[in-house]
Amino acid sequence: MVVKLLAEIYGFGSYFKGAETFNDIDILIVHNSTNYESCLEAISLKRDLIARVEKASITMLSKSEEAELNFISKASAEYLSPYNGNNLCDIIYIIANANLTNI
Amino acid sequence: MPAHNDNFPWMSYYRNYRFFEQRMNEHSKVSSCEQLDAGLYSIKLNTGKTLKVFICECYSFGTAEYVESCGNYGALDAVVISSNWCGYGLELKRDCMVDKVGIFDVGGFMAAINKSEHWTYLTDYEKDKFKEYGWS
Repeated sequence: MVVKLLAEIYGFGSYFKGAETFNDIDILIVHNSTNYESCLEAISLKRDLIARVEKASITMLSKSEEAELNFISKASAEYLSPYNGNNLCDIIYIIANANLTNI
Repeated sequence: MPAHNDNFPWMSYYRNYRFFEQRMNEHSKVSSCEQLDAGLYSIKLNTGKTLKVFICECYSFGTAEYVESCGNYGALDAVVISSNWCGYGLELKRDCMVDKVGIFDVGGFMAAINKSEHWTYLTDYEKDKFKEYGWS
């Protein structure tokens, strides 16, 4: 079975730096392209994360947009996981534990 | 109109856009500025044209956010990214220009509505970048 890479997930902001107090859990979704289907994949993932991660604040950028804006570098974002459409639970687990591992 | 949630429409920290409203009400080309919903405004110009404008504060406004905004509010004439620490991609700006939709910061939108085709307004930086990328 071929597993498709739909997006890559990054964390940034105080939560991922191990802060004891934080307003949001800032998550970046870097999806494959600006085409409509890829955008819908990112929006769907965003909604799933918001529903399951309290205080999640989601930014979505395509690979090319991220490259243009250099967002990962500017935000000192930390790579969390690939997203293939079937590993949402793994991603949520990684996010839930990211604050603890960075303390 | 869909129900709002904490992640749409990315309101300002103070949950309002008073600065934008003030700038619109002072603009010589604007005859009225009406808030339709959180983050959504109807800007009537002296020319008689009315623009449906989405304003937001988000770290970075990309194509997926644009698709999501249109899904929530329908077709837009412009998107205004409100705060100094937020931005938008030029790829999105270029693609939206084809559909006569402008992507701006507040200053850019103020300048753009002086033009009859507001979506064509580019800052000097954007003009240089569009040339560099071979888009103009």
